[in-house]
Amino acid sequence: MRSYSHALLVVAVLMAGGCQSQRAPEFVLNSQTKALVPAAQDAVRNELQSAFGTPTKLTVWESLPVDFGKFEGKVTSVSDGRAFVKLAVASPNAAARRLPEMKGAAVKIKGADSGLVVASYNAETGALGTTGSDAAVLTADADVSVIGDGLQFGRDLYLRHCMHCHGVSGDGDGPTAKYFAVRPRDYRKGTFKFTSTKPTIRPSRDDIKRIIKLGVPGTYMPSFMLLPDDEVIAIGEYVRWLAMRGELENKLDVELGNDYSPDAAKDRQLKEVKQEIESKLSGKVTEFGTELTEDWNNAEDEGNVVTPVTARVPSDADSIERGRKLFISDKVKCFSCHGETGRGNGVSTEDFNDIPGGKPGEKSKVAGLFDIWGNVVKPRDLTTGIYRGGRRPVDIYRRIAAGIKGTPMQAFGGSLKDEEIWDITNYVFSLPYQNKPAAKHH
Amino acid sequence: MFWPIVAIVVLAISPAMGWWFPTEAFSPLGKQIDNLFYMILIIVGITFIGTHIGLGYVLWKGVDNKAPKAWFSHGSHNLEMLWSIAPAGILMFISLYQLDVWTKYRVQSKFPKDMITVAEVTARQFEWRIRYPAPGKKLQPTPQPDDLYTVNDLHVPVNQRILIRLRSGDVQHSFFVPGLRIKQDAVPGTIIPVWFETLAEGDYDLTCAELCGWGHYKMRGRVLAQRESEYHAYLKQLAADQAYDGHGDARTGGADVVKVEKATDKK
Repeated sequence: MRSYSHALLVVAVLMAGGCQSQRAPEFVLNSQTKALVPAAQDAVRNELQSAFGTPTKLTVWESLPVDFGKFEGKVTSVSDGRAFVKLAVASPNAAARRLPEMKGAAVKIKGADSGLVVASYNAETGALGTTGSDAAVLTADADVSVIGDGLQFGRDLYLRHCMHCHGVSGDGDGPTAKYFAVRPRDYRKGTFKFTSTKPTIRPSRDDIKRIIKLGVPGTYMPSFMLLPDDEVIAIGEYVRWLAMRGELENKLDVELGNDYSPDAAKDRQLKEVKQEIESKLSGKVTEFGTELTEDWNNAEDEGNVVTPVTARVPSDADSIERGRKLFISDKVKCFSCHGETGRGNGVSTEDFNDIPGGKPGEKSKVAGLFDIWGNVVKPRDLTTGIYRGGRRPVDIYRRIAAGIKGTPMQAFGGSLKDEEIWDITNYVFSLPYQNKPAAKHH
Repeated sequence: MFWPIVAIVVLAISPAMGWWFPTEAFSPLGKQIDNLFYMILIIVGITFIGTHIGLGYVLWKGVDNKAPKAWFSHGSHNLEMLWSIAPAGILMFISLYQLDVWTKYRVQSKFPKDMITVAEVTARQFEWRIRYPAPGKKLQPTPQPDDLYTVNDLHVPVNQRILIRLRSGDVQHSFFVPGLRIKQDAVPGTIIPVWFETLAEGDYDLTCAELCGWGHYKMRGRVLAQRESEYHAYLKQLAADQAYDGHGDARTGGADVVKVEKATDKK
């Protein structure tokens, strides 16, 4: 009898684990890629894999403006075949902090691969133990750089805090996303709504950090105020990396889309198509990488921050009245989307509008306002006092001056003077506290 | 015999050693609540040990019983009376004994007269949205244009009786600060006043204690008790941040970056 009960116990414990096997997380391809012929899809998948890797095995593409967790140092001495170097984190955005866990990381000397791999590193003494082809290259005074797993640190945090809404690939389609009326952001277009940068510029690191810390009130994006700064920065780096990956996929799709959609290429020989795609894409990823680097570095440029030229006009009754007049004017037409009472029920919500990101002048066949991610957009109800992108005067100024990227809220900074934007801002801030409509109903 | 003795000794000394709670209570009412817990511990401890001594005695004695026939019992009226009235009396004692703590906590007319209303805390899936009045002003029931807003980070002046107005933005939540022994459900449609006093500066965990959805487990915030000067400085900084118009500041490096104050000391 004893042996049976032991066996039963073992079986019960094993069954308690459940029958589903755990799948490793994987990046998904976007819908445009999936619309290409299989040969083209494979090409895109392979390029993405070699440039970015998989969620469990990230590839380091050093030229991208992402903090991969690089450590740099100079060899101070060599003894017994052991090099001594004090490695320090290379960038001020210290997403890189996992110094001890660099085992297996490639050692570069003067920026070039040395064939050496980190076997051990003692942060206190600086003793660097390597294995690899030619340990003799580590001479005194050599410039050594090692890429630690700083991005993996961000990835681990992302998978814990963000993945369930934003998805493994940053596509805004994680397991919980389907329950939300307001969809989580799909990073893969490189477009983020609430930024401090000019209309054609990417979000800056500070913008992303701000959203993570403060959340987006009125949506399901919570505030991560209490996460330590270095964790928030690391998550931000991983988000930027996911966005760049998505943008690379878009660029590849544009490159291949015309010639390799099912209509264009369905009857062609596979081998021929593959060779053609290969030659078409040769060198392209490097070119696209340069574009990405430029785009995302521009976001950190101070000149690209939307900064008011004048101080805020005092919010007195006159300014609010001027703002109200602008709100209902034909020049700005705020009311056409936001409604005459500011409740977000303007006529555009029932009109056939331009397709976002489509050919200019081409109208959608479905009525209403849409964003570039294909979601229905409800213009903000300005009477609630909930401001998604922030409630400071500068935030509202930026929404009006630079618009909200990806949505029909356009940038009015070019057509309005600073004082006019401040007047509208003051009017907007007054809306939750008054009962009067902007204008009489027609 | 060894382990039961160890258990009894541990039970007896645990209140004095502070083993019974994760932290000591940092509010006066919290200390009274801890005393109630200890009282229950004593009553229950005595009952438990007593009944198990009785059980042990019966088992031990029963071994020697060589009587061939079982003894049929018609029950004992006295025993029934005893073990109904004694527990009823104990429970009655407990419920009357704790009445004053409950009243001080929950009955608004018995709240301290010198409370400061600090903020309105709205629980929302899955964060705590906090609305302070502008520095120098009183908190109004409806939002005012100059109110200050923050998330998950409630600052209160230390050693003062504080009142917050607890609301819910969507479903039921519960405002739970274990270090201060406060727990109050946030019920949609109601505004519930919650008062407390912190005895030491520092960072107190705030968690949600009413299952509110998939993010309930991570609905954390903090209550930071600061000395008055720092508290007022914090509110002024919040007001300045909220009025920031971005003018003349080419890079956001200073004002646009969100800063979270560190706690002065964690007790």
